[in-house]
Amino acid sequence: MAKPVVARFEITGRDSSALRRFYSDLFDWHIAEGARGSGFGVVPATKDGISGVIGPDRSGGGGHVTFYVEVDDLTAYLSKAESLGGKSVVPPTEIEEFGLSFAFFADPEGHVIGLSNGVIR
Amino acid sequence: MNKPAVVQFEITGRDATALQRFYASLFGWDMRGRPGYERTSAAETGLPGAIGSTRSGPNGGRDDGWDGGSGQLTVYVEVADLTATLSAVEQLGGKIVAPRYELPGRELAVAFIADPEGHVVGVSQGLQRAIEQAGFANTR
Repeated sequence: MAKPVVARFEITGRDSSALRRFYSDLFDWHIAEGARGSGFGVVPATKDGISGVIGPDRSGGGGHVTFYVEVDDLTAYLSKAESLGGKSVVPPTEIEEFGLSFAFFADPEGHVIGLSNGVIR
Repeated sequence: MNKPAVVQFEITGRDATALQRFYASLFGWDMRGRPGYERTSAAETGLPGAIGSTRSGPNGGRDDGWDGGSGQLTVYVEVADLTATLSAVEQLGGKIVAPRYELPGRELAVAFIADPEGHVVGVSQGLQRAIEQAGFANTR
């Protein structure tokens, strides 16, 4: 079994277009349009850096800066996180059009971090 | 000039040892360094990373009584000119949360910025080279 690795960073918030403009102006990032209607933009990976997405917080909250750790079994890692003192925040959720699934947990100090399955192939 | 890139993640909190144990147990990650600030390599975690105490400040470099509050989970964007980036931040509607800090003798400078919605992101100049020199850049 491959060791879980950090697959992608994510920045979400209330105003997706303003956030995308801020990061593209600040870092000279060419942010490609994500899936139509999703409001997400994609920051491509570079030689040294991982790819990321910037988009709306669908829960209506203030969003976050976080990253996804690619795992082979979302449910198993959520349970493991809970058994180690973390909390499950978003249950495994499939995004069919991208052929990937994700989940969120909080570590013992409340930092929210994503789990993904299918981001890395 | 290379485009600014996300080159490191960082998780800081009040109990660094407990956080390190949590992530090591959960993901099987091997971390190296000192107790207040431990690092992982790209070979280990895909993206090089660090888990440390809030008092270690941006990139584990501070020993000046810095108080990082309850800490955060964030990423560092490596830029060619940190001063220029920081001067653009406020004009673009962001804020400087932790000003430029030079790690003594390391040709490495770091800062924290907040975007217009208050999300905290690390910005670095020299971090990518430091990661390479430490042998943490090798992907598998």
